[in-house]
Amino acid sequence: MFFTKLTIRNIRTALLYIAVAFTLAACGGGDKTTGGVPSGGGGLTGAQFGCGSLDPAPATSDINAFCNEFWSQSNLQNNCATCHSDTASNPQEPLFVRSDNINQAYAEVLQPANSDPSKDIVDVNNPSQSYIIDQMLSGHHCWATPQVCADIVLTYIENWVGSSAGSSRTIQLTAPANSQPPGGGKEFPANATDSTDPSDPNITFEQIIYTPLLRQYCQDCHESGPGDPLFAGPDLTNSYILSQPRMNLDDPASSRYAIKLMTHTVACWNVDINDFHPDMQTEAMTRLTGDNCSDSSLAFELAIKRYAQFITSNAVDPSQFLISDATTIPDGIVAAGGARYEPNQIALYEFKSGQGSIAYDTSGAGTALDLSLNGGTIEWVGGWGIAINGQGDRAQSSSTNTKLYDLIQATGEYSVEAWVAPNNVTQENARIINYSGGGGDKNFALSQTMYNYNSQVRNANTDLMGEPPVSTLDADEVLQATLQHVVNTYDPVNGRQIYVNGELVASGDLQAGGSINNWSSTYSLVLGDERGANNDNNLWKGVIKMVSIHNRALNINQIQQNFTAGVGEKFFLLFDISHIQGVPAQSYIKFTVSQFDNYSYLFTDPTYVNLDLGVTSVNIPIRSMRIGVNSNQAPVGQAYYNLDTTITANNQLLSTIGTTVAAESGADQDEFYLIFEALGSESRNYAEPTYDPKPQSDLAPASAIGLRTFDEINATMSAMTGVSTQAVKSRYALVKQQLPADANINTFVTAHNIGLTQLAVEYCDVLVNDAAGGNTGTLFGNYDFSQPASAAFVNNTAKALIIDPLLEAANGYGMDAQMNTGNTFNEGGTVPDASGDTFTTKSELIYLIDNLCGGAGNCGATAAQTRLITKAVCTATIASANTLIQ
Amino acid sequence: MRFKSIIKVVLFSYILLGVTSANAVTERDKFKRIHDRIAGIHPDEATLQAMENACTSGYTDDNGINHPGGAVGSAQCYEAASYVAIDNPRFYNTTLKNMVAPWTNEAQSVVEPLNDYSATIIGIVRDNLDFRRILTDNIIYTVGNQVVTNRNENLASPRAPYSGIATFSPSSNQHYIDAENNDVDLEAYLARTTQSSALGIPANAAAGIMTTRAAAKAFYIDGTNRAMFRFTILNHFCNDLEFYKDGTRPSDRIRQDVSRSPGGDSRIYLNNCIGCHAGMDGLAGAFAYYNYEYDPDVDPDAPNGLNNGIMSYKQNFDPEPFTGHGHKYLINAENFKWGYETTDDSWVNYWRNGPNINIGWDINNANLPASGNGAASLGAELANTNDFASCQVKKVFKTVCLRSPVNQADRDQVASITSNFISGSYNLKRAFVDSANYCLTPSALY
Repeated sequence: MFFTKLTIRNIRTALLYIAVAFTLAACGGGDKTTGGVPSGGGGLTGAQFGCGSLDPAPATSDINAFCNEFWSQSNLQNNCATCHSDTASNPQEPLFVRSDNINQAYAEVLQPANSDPSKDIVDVNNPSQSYIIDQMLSGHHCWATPQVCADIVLTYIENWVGSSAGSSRTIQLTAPANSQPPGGGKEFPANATDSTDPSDPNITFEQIIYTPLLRQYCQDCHESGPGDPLFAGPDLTNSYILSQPRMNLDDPASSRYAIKLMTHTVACWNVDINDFHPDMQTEAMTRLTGDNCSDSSLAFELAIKRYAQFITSNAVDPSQFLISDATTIPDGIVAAGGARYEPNQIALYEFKSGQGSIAYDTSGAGTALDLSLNGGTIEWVGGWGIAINGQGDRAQSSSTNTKLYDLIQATGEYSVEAWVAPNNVTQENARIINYSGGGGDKNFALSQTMYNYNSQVRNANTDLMGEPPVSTLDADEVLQATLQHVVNTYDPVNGRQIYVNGELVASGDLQAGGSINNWSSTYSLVLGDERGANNDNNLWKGVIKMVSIHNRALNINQIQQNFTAGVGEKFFLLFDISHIQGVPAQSYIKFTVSQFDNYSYLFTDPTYVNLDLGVTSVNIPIRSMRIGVNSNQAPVGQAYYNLDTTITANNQLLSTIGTTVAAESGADQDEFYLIFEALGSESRNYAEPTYDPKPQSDLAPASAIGLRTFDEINATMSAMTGVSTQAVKSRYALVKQQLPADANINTFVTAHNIGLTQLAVEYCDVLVNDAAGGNTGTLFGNYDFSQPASAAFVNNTAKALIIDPLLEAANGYGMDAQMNTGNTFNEGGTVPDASGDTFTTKSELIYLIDNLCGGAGNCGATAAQTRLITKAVCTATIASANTLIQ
Repeated sequence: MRFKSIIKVVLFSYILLGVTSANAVTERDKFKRIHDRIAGIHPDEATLQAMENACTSGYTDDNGINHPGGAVGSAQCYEAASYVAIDNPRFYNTTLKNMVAPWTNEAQSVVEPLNDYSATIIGIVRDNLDFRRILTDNIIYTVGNQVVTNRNENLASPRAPYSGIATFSPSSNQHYIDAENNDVDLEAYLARTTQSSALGIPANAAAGIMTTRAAAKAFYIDGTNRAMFRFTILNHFCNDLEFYKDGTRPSDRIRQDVSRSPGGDSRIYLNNCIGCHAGMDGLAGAFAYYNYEYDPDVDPDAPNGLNNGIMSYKQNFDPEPFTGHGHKYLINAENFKWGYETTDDSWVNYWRNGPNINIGWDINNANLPASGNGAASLGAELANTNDFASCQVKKVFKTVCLRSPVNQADRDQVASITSNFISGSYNLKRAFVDSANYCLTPSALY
């Protein structure tokens, strides 16, 4: 990805460079401290060419930094000095690694390149734009893959610039090369087999580009290597994805496929007219030159032209929308982050390659400790990073490379620094970065346990698994499922310490002071798991965007410097607004944009800039700014909607708020523009759509009756019996939770019945005891509870003296829907039981009395039994459906 | 054996009721149902007689308002009869208390002790106050030692407590727990006063139930105070936040603690998180000065209200960790440092536009500004919506009819009752009366 962007940008810049430059103070720059540590930079093992004894000595501190961080690196001395040094058998300009005069070498490296005067050999203000980086990307005397060489050299440059005391990095803002009205961008069809021509089903990527060109002429290198990327492999879909950034549908001649053949003279072939689609052969005849590379380039150009011929574009209507010009990330200016503190960095993984199965160590220190990506679901993520998604996924180094062991044993301390985004806060004992021997043994590990980061290190005071660990505090919940900067440091004095987002969050290691001599040199650096594991026991799921290992314990200032420097690739996108009335010429809204992850872009720091240095004050009203993506306003994530201010000065920051907007076609394809409600002296009105109320759907028919709930039952029983709720409150407290809490009749369970009956027993107990105690104010009036049961229940009339008041209290009368229709309780409401007999409520209660007596006429001779049976009848009555149901 | 016999009779009663309930509905049945549903308890003969009398002869309720009654079967008849049930203390102690209880706790449990939130709602209903005041007013009810005869009474400070119950305290719920355990007649003894006097907060900090101790304990405790907004919406708009999801609103008020790429996947944020946070974070800014301060060594869920937490308000934004209320608006700021950084208690309502325009904002045409500072002005914004009024009616409808509106006829009826509720000065009793009337009619029976 990075490769593509850089190259496209470089080429466009070379062709269309607009000589308008504006110097802006570097943003986000960390301090340039070197912390007093001997400056060996990434070249801890690479700085083999001492700078201290040179004659002449470096004349300035910056030349000294150049010497230490760039010139002395063995990769450059070994690979560049064979030509670009005075010691070469056939010295070739520029002699930027010459050994006779370091000050001359410094001067030469800052010169424009002979073959591309628009670029310096090294651009200290914008290191990634250096000509030497382009050369590395082209594979020029590269000792690894082009991307890795470029990354390593970039690291050298950044270390040089970052460590140079007093150096002030500036970024050249230039007008975007391809600024144009938004929309109009042709978009790729969804599939490689979709035709772009309504009248011809054969105008597909597969039939126009893949089969006749890529598979035929690029296969040798780009099917399985050594060419990179592998866009000519057998997987059509993969080829389509990889090819889209390399085909410019709006300007086929600018397609990377065409330019690469034209300028890099790779794999050109002897072109035949049959290499062109019949529709394009006439044009081809007029343009073929006989030069293989020129004609090969033409074959791609015209194939892409034919493919794109009938794809329509969606231009944005400027009369309807007040819009800036559009730009893209490839047209952006690389926004160098602040300098990182890396003098003792011994391994660095930035995941810039974005493809393949290796995560390269681009620290430039020692033998690169590259990581192999294992597992079926591990994947690269946009904006540099890898995602570990499932069992077996991990990135693992060789166990034979002892760089980490050697360099950390030499100092006895280390720091593991990473930008990570855990998938969740539920995973436990999950290994994020693990110097692992497998089976739990390890030299060190950074792990996650729910909301905590853990640090394990094997030393004299811990076991072979580095336990007990030091962890962040549970209550702090510092680990969040979002991108975080985490650093584990270890030194003998302080032991393990954990820093998250620049703050020390765990310290006080009880196992501090132990020697790490018991480390094993045969372990592997593993991201995401234990070495060789293939289970879920220690799998960590999440995204890793950068890993850096240092053989010193970083201090808090250094850690904060690296936290501030951030992670990932950032660009300045300049949105041209100078065509709007009332806006001065050369006016732009500048955003800092980065690919946030696979699915979105981060837009921050909207700033008004005018590239005319003479413009210092302006007066530009601006209201309601929105971000557009590919001809449409991004539907979600508009954070500048409420912007309403007046721009009065150059470099005026418009908002401190940042926002994310969804990616659509990918960072190389998506086109951005800005929409305004008012800007300068122009304005537009944008009507909100009409929103109808959400339709409401019917629910299932519901019962017209329901349950009385707990308090209602209690109050109802109190009302029926005349007994105060206070008299039964201890019992009620016990059964309260057993009574219905919801009136929905479908929630009825038999446990409700038991609770209901228990509560009724309590009310009836109090009621009958009260009445038997002589209180004539109860519903039993002056009933004689001193009579024996045999007398009290001698016949049905006698029984009714108990039953009738209870039924009246519980049921009322005069209600057809109730169990009784009259006030004698002898009629109505009958229902057959299973045997066919019919009952009334009253007769049921009579049977209850008889049953409790042991049969009709068998009632005992005690008053106690009278009271007991009365309580039973009372309970059966007030615990009835008439209480439970309303 | 005996217990089984009793249970048998009890179960028999259900069978009998099931059969007989299909019989023709009499006027008595209707009065009984009104009483069952409003007062929650079975009416005795005298009460039924009183309701029958009120129906035709009219009734003057405990607030001194006459309901003239009308012909048997008329709406006026049932209204007058309904007020007999409303005047039963059980309407306040049981029906209202249990309707409100789930609003006052995060678990939405109905088995929640009486507290200052529920007591204040009960008092507002008893006194026929404008129900919108539950979100805006400097008002609280405590359980005093005198029967309140003047329902316009508004005390300068909490009245001495009912005999035998704990004194009101801003740091304990014991006062209300005791009142409930003693089954104190809330209709008679609830006494109105101000939160500023009872809780010791500035008058302009009070915002109805949103600034009661119970609400603070449930929704200002720890966290980020978004819970207060979510549960206020849930309880008083009758929809959870998902219902109002709208990712198209401006995202500039979403705070820094919301990850824009949860677990490294920004689709989750763009498709889900932003839908609620875009609107919510702008609105919940109103709560930036509030907190529930408690001793973490005392179990906040300890029974009997033993914990000593208070609803705390501190004017001015204080970002200091642990002590500053504003701190909870700044936690996890590094999750997305370009997010909104709270500096005061301002709020803004982005839901005035977009699909949530259908919430029905500013329905009383008060020219509310859709933005402001503090909870009370937010309360006014929320209370003057159609969803607020409609939600109160839906809750009453469910309390009375024992079901949610299920079909268009029900929804039309809720709309009609809502209209009456609004035009009737937001007197919630009106919704009880109308709902009771509706659920008597055969068409509402299934």
